[in-house]
Order: sequence, then structure tokens, then C-alpha cells
Amino acid sequence: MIENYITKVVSYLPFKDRKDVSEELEILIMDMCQDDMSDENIINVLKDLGHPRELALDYGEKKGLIGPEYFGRYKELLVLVLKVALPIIFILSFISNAYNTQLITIENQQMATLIANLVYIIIFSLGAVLSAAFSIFAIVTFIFAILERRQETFEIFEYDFNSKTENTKQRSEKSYLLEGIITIIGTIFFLFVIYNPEFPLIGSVENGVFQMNQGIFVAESFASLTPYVLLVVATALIVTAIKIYTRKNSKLLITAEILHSLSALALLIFALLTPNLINPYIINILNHASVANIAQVIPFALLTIPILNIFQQLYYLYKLDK
Amino acid sequence: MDQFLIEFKRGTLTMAVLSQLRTPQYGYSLLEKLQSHQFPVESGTLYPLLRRLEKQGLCISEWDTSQTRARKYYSLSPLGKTLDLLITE
Repeated sequence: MIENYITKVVSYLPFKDRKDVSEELEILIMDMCQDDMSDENIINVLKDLGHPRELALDYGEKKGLIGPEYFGRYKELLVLVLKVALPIIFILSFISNAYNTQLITIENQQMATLIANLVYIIIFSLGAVLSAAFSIFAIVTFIFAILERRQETFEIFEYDFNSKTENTKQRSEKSYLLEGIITIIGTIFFLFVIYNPEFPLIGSVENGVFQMNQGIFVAESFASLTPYVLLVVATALIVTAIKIYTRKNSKLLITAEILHSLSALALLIFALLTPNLINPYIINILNHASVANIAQVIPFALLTIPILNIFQQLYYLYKLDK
Repeated sequence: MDQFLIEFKRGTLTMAVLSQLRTPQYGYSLLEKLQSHQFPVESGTLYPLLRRLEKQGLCISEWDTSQTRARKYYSLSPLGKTLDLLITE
């Protein structure tokens, strides 16, 4: 409870003040508790100190573009917007660049050419992401600078003084377990597809009768991809095992996730190079259903998933070391 | 009127804190001293005030790690002593 409270208070303060304030607050709370460390007493002491944001406001000085009153909200909003917007921008930019440069319509690409083109598209997409990040930062900062000058007040949401770190840890462990279970289910599906590439998962209408009689892949073409699919499955199982066993983030898990994403990337690249992989029936449906070559856009769109995951894992690695 | 009272209380509290810092105090001891002199002050108000006074150069702080629990002691700086003398004259 005390740790959660102090963490919340300092989250509203500039980085340079956080360490000192958190040490001081911890000592103050211990002194105020007067050796009675029961939950009830601690809650009363924390309530005496007040809402974390109110306490942080008293600590801060009004200087700079955004003062302490708005800094917490500014930081939260900026992080939220960046986390949502940047991956979307990356995906859209990736697909747009792939489509506009007509790479997706080039048949029978050589491996080296494909990889070179992919690197080209990734660099341009990252450029779009960087540009978007600067724009978002400027807009959000501008809005909060105006709010600071106009002294608009935010409604303070209630703080749960009874919140304990253990609850947060349990939720985090459960999420790792859930992810592990979902990955196992997905892996089972993948294994099923490996041994039954033409299993009828798609329906068609023949003579006015709807029947589930179309598979996703062409068996002969899919056979060449089996080793890569098995590699993806193997790395997925390793990631799952680490998640279920450790139930926390770690360098080992991050490394396994990156290897898994790299294997998925390799699989998708080889899939792009494999002609006649997808059932022609599905390609016809997709092409008739849209004005674009959507059947060729989808593999490129799928490429963004492992690429984004790799960047995400590198970010987690950076946060882990911090 | 409310704003005037807030400013008045803030100034009075600053004077009271400066007067008690003639001898080094840590935050909680200062809190108890002020309350014993019938000067009610909220704990959430005192610590931020001490930090502001330190940033203004009126007091200095030093960590004392000699005891089982490390404590941050505040005392008047030379500027703070001068100001305290001027206030009490």
C-alpha cells in the first residue's frame, strides 16, 4: 500500500525529484504510523496525507511549459496516444508503401530482392512513425500548455488507499498465464494446419448448396514451408513454456519472443516467395470482393505483426534495463 | 476572502517553520513540535513547504544515516537565519 501510494505521488513529479521525494515520504509515513503497521493504520495515515495528486501538486513548483498540476495527466495521455497511434501508423504506412511501390504485384521475386525491398519499406515506415510521433508530441504538449495558462482544472478520480502491490503482481502473472494458454491453442491450430493444409475451413456454394469444402492452402506448395512452420511452432512453445513457468517479463522471455518473431518473419517471407500457395478459390473471392489486390496485400500486412513485436520486445528490454 | 486567508495561513506557517528550524529537525519531529505549540499543520503540507524553503535557500537539509532509520534533517541556512532574525525583531 505504502509503495503504491509513493509510486503514484512521484509519478506526477519531474524525474529529478522522484528519488528524493520517495525516500522522504517513506520515512514520513513510517514515522506517522508509529510502529503500528496494521492495514487500518496505514490507510488512515495515507488518507491524512491526501490524494497522491494533491500531495504532488504541493511538492511541485509552477515553472516551465507544463506545471505539476497537469504534468501527470499530460504524461499519461501522451503515452496512451503514442501507444495506440504509432503501431497503427506503422501498419498503414507499411501497407501503403508496399502497395504504392507495386512490390506486391511483382511475381516470383528473388529472396535478396524481396529482403532489400522490405528493408526499404521498413525504413520509410519508421520515418512515418517518427514524423507522427513528433506531431503527436507537439499537439499534446501545445494543448496542455494552453490548459496550464488557462488554469483549467481536471476532476480528480478517487484513489484506492487500500491498493496493494501483491494484487498488481497477481494480475500480471495471470495475464502471462492467459497468454501462454492462448499461444498453446494457436499452436495446436497451426500443427493441425501443417498436417491438413487442405482441410476444408472455407465454405462455397455449389448448385445452390453451401458446403465447407475449400482449404486455405495448396498442399503441394505448402509442403515446402513445413520446416519453417515447425520452427515457428517450436519457438512459440518455448515462449509459452517460459511465460507459464516464470510468469514475469525477463531477458530470457524477451529473447525467446524475438526469436519467435524472427522465425515468423522468415516463414512469411518464404510464403511470399512460394507461388500458388493460397487456394485459388480464396484468391478469386478476395479479388472480387475488393477493388485492390487484397489477396496480395494480406501477406504484407501480416509481415507487420512480427516486425512490430520485435520493436515491442526491444522496448521491453530497454525498460527492463532501466 | 478565502484566497486571502489561504495566503495568510501560508505565510504564517512559513514563519512558524523557520522559527523551529533554529535547531535541526526532521520532518516528523517538526510536525510534532508545531502541533505541540497549538499550530495545526497537515503532514502533506509541511514536507512540500520544507522543500520549497530549501529551494529558496532559506534552509538546508542533510541525511543522517547514523540511526537505524535514515532521516533527513532540516536546519536554517545563513540566509534563513538572517530572515528569521528580521522577522522576530
